[in-house]
Formats: sequence, structure tokens, C-alpha cells
Amino acid sequence: MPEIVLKDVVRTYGSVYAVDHLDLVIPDGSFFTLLGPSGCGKTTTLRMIAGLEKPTEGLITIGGTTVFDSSSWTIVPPGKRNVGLVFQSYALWPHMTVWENISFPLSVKKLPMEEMKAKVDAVMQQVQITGLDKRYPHELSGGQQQRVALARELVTGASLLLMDEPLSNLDAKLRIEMRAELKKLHRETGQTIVYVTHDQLEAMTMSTHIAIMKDGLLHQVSSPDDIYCKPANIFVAEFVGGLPINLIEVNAGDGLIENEQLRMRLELPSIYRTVKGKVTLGIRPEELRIAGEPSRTTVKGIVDSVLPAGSEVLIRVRIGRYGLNIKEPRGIEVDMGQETYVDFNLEEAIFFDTDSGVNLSAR
Amino acid sequence: MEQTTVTLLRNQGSDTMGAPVAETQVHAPSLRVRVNKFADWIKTPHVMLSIILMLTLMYFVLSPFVQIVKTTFLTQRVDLRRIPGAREGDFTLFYWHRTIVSAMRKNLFFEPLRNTLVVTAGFTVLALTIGIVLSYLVARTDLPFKKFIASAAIVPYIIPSWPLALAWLTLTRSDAGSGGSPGMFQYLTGIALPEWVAYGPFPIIMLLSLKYYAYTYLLLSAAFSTLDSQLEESAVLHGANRLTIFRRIVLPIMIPALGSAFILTFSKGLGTFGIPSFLGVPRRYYTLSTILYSQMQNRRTAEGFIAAIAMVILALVLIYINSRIIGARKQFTTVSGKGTKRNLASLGKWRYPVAIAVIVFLLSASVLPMGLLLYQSLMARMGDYSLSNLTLHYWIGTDPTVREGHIGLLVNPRVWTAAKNTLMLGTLTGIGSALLGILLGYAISRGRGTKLALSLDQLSFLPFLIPDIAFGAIYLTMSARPMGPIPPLYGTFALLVLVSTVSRLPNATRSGTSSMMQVSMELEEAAYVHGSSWFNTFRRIMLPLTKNGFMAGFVLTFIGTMTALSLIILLYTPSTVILPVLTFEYANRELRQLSDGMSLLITLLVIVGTYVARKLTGTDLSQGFGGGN
Repeated sequence: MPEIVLKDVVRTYGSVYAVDHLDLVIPDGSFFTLLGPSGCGKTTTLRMIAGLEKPTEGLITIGGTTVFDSSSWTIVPPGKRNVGLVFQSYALWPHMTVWENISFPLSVKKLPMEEMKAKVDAVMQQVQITGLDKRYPHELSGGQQQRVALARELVTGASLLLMDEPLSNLDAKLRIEMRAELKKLHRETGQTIVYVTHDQLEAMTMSTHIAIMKDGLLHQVSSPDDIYCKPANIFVAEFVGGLPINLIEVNAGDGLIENEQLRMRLELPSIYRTVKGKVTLGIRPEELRIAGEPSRTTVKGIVDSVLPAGSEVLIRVRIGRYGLNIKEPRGIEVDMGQETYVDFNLEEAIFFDTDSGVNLSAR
Repeated sequence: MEQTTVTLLRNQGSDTMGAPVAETQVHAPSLRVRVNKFADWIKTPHVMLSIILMLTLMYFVLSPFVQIVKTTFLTQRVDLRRIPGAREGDFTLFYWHRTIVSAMRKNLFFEPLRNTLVVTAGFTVLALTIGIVLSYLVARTDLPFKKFIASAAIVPYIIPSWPLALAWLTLTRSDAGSGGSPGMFQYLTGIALPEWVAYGPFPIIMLLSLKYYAYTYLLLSAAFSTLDSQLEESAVLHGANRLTIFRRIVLPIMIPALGSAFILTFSKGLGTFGIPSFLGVPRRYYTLSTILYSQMQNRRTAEGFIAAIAMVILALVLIYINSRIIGARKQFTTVSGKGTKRNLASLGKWRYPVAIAVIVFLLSASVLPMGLLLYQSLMARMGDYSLSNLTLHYWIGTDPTVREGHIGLLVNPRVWTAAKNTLMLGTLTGIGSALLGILLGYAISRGRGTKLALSLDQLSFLPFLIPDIAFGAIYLTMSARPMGPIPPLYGTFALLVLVSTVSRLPNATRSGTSSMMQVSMELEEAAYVHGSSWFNTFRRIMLPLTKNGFMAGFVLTFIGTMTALSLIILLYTPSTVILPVLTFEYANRELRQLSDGMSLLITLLVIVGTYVARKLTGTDLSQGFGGGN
């Protein structure tokens, strides 16, 4: 079964480390997402698993079989790794019909026509493109092209499916639909899916595991929940979440956090009593509230902007040099320029070491 | 056995991200690893292909290059009497001395060199001027009949150029200085034009600019059409008039493009042979290309090669300058791709007069000469332009007892042999160079950034530097002896195909590379992921996807080969004669009716071929490459 192990994998381009000593275990049957900003090495990692890119150093095994080993320079070519790969561009062959595209992997394996037909029909039904057999890729909508690309990679029944930003070329509505479908597909087939994206929402909604990368380095591997609630460091905390997390530098000690310039002085909940010294407070917009009156959990500020967004309102409140993002439900009445109080739900706060950025509370 | 070990001290886990401190120790890889790595590298399809192509190119492109230089330092068998005491193959400076030091240097080298520079600079400037005006009018103004003008403008680029020379002589020849029959102008007006009108630098420059303006037009219209018209419009808002805008805004912005066009045209026209040969040689006005031909004819191979080397060096210098200009051009960001607006400037009341002037010019550069050629090919006796002198004898006459024993072109078996050879040469060369171009394009585009691909690219460009006539000369020498595993090819048709294919390499490679670049790497990878072999992938995916590029390459080569005179002129034998060469032969023997008729035939063939190709492939030949000259 395809558990994928990457050990000490390095890929350099000249003197640039695209992937920097990566250790990763991708469990069998997982929906494993490599998440990170562009240029973080996620696509390179995926291509190294597929065999389209050769690591500079390291070891990769798929289901116990070594597919790459730099110590002896053993390489298993992509075609022998039994993987499917959905490209960001879909890479549909424009001169072939949908049927020819999907059946290509089978024709390479020289399957008899009958069997080929049956398999192609089945997979086309699975991704709901029955009837498009004779169309050419340019005659299809973006969503249909996406499905054809998926079908082509599913048809061989490979137990490992790799996807490189497959939804990034779809419009917003289709993307949401496809997310649900991919998740369903994963459940149905039980395949191991390795998914690359820079869209944190995509990662959060679909994955069983998320690995966050930046500049070739792995920052955290966790479940989506833990990535959101227990980010390993400031980078991860800032990268995930629909609205950016609020970060404020404070001094902690004696059960309090303080920032004199902001006239901020808040009591720490008991779970954070151990936090001490110069730290960075991270708090998500939904854990802040607009309060009418000052209290022991509030800080005074001025409303900078009010951005209604249907079900919710995004309010930006200026406190000293910080602009805090606050998410309130629809219907709240505040005016720009108005003085207000911001209520901090510190139970859900995260504390980072200001210098290293490391999450202190996760320890 | 020693292992490759990489020791890491790296703080890296699922929950922390300390400051990375790497201490990497890499021992020299073991032999096995190195062997495996090398095997892996060489098995990469584009690497293996590159290596094979590299060896092929070295053999057919680089080694002739070396050969030509070597020849100029070695005593030739025919010169044993001229160099006392030397044996064949001995090192000698005799040829270089004779060409650039001795009293003969003026006639053998410096005058042809000067003439080459004068003629080339002259027609380049003229062609550029015409090209600027024409491309500006078409790309940037509301000129009427634009579609017709745009396609008529590139006609000289496709049709062979030397028929223009023959037409010119028909018009301007006089019986005064040169003897011979009078031209049409003298016949109609009674005025004998001075000889410098018919022969020498003046007509050579005029006629070559009529061919090369199409080239500059193509180069510049691309640049003009990407120019943001807002730049012009803001000048209009400040009250500038059309001419001021053109002079002070458009031209300065275009200067890098102009410089580049100048260099490209200059180097392309440097080795031109046909027109200088018809209009210069009869009055001893030699250029490097014609002196090379005459040296080769006189079996002075080494001296001829020195002229060839001079041409190559000139071309190299120009290419170098061009690359510097292109480099500098990157700093000009005015010609932007995105957000470019193209509003056309209005010519106002001058719209129609300008259009008519342009059309008259274009027709007199293409249709008028054809008419003259047709008329002269129908004349029984030279010099008599009356209607009573017209005959179809030189086209279809079968009586060998009249007209000095020459029968009509259309019934002459030699013409038919030549026609058959021409078509075959075009077809074989077309297939060969298109295929090579696609393979080279694959190797170069897939290896982009590697030294191997870069040197392959440069090597395939080398024939561009060697003028066709010099190329013919090199292969003439080479083909007399076996070339490695290949038997002596002299006199065979295969030699013509070989030399044509090699000389088309730069164009074929360029178009092959650009069509391969358009095929995303992912389309190929998607097949590899499913275990498709390289050959299978190339056949089922790459080849079908580059089909159009392949067809375009084929057609362009086919047409180019049909008009290739200077490349073949030294290499043909009676059985491998082709149409352009036969025409040249007739012209040299002063058989004007026959040579003019042949020119018409070839031009017709090319036009029909271009039209058919355009219909068949939908390719735009205007991006193409000019024919031989």
C-alpha cells in the first residue's frame, strides 16, 4: 500500500534550495495537502514523488519500494511508479478527443479494446462526463476539462493520485463544487491523494493532513484543525485563515500581558500563566468583539473602516500602530472614526516567541 | 565502498522551526553513483538526441568550416606550378599573400570588399527607408486597401530576385557603350541611357532594395504594431502634427528595432549573388560573392575561400553588434505587450493619394518586371520591340533549324529534367530540414538553459554566417573525397539535397524550436507518468502537435529551394541541373528570351506553390524566410 516516505530530500537549482532537507511521511489513504506560497517547493516535491523531477539528494519510497535513492542513484521512471498526476494546466492533449485522452494510459499498457472501453466508460461515468467522448479539449468548458484530466488519471486505477493545483483555473463557484466532489472521490476510491495548493481554504476544507512549506522548508504537518488552532509558528498562523490573524507584541508576566503604548493591560487566562517575557499575541478576528463599555478584557481604539460582507461585517479598529481585524455578525452598528472598545477572548489566543516566531503555547 | 553521506544537523519537525543551521558534508560520490548518474543523464531523451545531433552537425557544419580555413593555407594541386618547390598539401601563405598583400590585392580582394560594403550598405539603407514608410502606413494609419497592400508588399520576399536584374537589363540596356542590342527604353525614346544605369552599383543597389524592403517591412511592422498608440495620441493632444509625431516620437522609440533591422538586412544581403552577377560581372564590377564564384570557376579554390572567410567574418561582426543592440533594446520598455492600444492615425485627405502611390510602387516592383520579361521572351530578335517581332518560338517552338538551334522552353527536355529535379530537390530538402528542425527544436527547447542545448543552438545557426555561394564552394571540395562513411558525393543528387538541407538549418531550427516551445512540457510529462516511452510520446503527442510547424517549415524550404541559385551553382552537373541554374546558364550565354522565360516560369511556380501551401496549411508565409539569390 502506498505510504510515501521522503527522507532528507534536497532539490537545488544552482545555489537555490527549492526543497531543503525534507522529511515527510504521507500516510496510506490520506488526503495529504502540500500548502504554501508560490515558490515554496510544494510543486517540486510533488514532481519528485511523480518522478518527473530528480532530487539532488535523498530517498523516496512509495509503498515500501524505493523509487529514488541518491546514495546509489537508483531511479524508478515515472511510468513505473503507478501514480496518476493531474496537472495545473490539465495537460490535455489538444489533438486527441476526450476518449483518446482518457484511454491513452490504457493504450500504453496495451489493454484489449473491450477492456479499454469498459474502463473508460466507467471512469467517465464516475466523473460525470458521459457523452463527451468525441469532443476535443478546446470544445469543453473549464470544469469539463478538469474532469477529463481527472478521468485520465483515474482510469488506470493507480492507488496514488497526485494533483498540482487542479482547481486554480476554475471560477469560484465551480471550485467550491469540485472541492466537495474531490472529497467524495477520495472517500469512494480510498486512494492516497497528494494535493498541492497555495489556497489555504482549499487545503483546510478537503485534507486529512496538511503540510505547510515555505522557502523549501517544512514548517508544520498536522490535521487542518491543528494547523488553524495550533499553528507551529507565526508564518503558519498568518498563512491560514480567511482573514489574517491579528498579531500584537506584548510583555507577559505575573498573569498579565501589557503594552504600554496601546494602553493595553489584560489578564491572562489560567492556561497561559506560564507565558513570560516579550511575546507576540496572536488572535483571530472572530475572537475579537466590539464592546460598548470598557472592561477588564477590552482595549480602547478607533474604528478605521467598516466592511459589510453579507453574513458578516469586517471591522478594522486602530489601536496605536496596530490595525486589528474584527469579524462581527451582520447587523452591528459602528461608524468610521468612532471610539470603541475591543474585547479580547484570550482563551483562544496564541502566543509566539517574538524573536523566533515559535508558538509558545503549543509546548 | 564509500557512500555518499550527507550529515545534517537541522532543526526541523512538525512543530518547531528554529533558525536553520545546516552542516553539510558531502564526500566524493562513489564510482557507482557517478556511473549511474552519467547513465541516467545520457539516457534523458533530449540529452541523447542532442548528442546525436551535435555529432551530426559537427560533421556537416563545423568540419566544412574548418576545412575552408585549412584549404587557404595548403598548397593545392593545381597551383604546384605557381608555388615553386612546394608539394601538394604543404603549408603555404601564398594564397593569403596573393589575395591581401600582393599587387593583385586590389582586384582580388579589396575592390570586391569595398564594392560589397558599398552595395550592401546602399541597398540596406534604401530598403529600410521603404520598409519604415510602408510598415508605418500599414500598421499605424487608416490607409485604404490595406489588406491588398500588406500582402503585395511581401511578394518580393517570396519570388526570386534575379529575374528583376534581367528585366532591368531589358529596360535599360543600350547599344552605345556596351554593344549588344538596345533595351526597351532606348527603342521607345531613342535615348541611349548611360552605362551606369544598366550595369554596376547603381542598378544593383536599386534592385536589391526592391527585394529587401519586403524583409525590412516584415521586421518593422511587427515592431510598429506593438507600439502603444497612446504615446502618439498624447502628442496629438499637445498639438503636434503628424510629421512631427513621426519624427520625434515614433522614430526615436523605434531606433533599437531599426538598428536591429539594419544589421539583419545587411548580413542577409551580404552574400547575395544573383543580381551582382547579372549586373556587375559583365562590367567587371565584382563583389565578394561574385569574385568567389569566378575564382572557383578558375579553379582557384583557396583564393575563393579567402573571399568566403571575409564574408563570414563580416557576418560574425554584424551578428555580434546585433546581439549588443538587442541586449540594449531590453531597456526600452515602451514597446509593451499588455495594455497596448492600437488606434490608427488618420491620413485625412491624403488617404487615397498615398494608397495609390504605394500600389503603383508595389506593382512596378513586381508586375512590371514580369511584364517586361514576358515581352522579351516573346521577341524573335533582340532589340526589336515592335509587335511584328513577337513569336512563341522560345516557348513552344520545335524547329531546331531556326533561332540558333534553340527550341522552346516548354518542349525542351532539359527544362523538364530541371523542373523535375527542382521539385524533387524542394520536396526532399523540405522533408529533411523540417524533420531535422523539429528534432533540433525538441532538443534545444527541452534542454533550455543547459550548455549542450546552447551549443547545439549556436552550431545550427552557423550556416547562416556562410553565404550560400561559399557553402556551395565548401561542399564542392568536400564532395570530391569520401566524407567518413559517406562515399564521394560529387555529381550526385544527394549532394544537392545535403547541401540544401544543411544551409536551411538555421531557419528550420528556429521554426522547429518555436513550435516545440509552444508545446508545454506538461503535455509530454502527462504521457510519461503513464509509462509511455519517449518514442511513443514523440510520435503520438509531440509530432501531431507540431504538425503545423512542420508543414510550414516544409513549405518555406520547398519554395526557398526552388529559387536557390547561388547554393547550387557550383555543384550541379548536367543530370542534376535545376531551374534557377539553367536560367543562369541561359543568361550567361546571352540567350535572353530563354532566360527571361525561365525566370517567369520559376516565379510562377513559386507563386502557385505559395498559394497552394497557404490554402493547404493555413500557414502565414510572411513570417518566412526569403528565397535564395
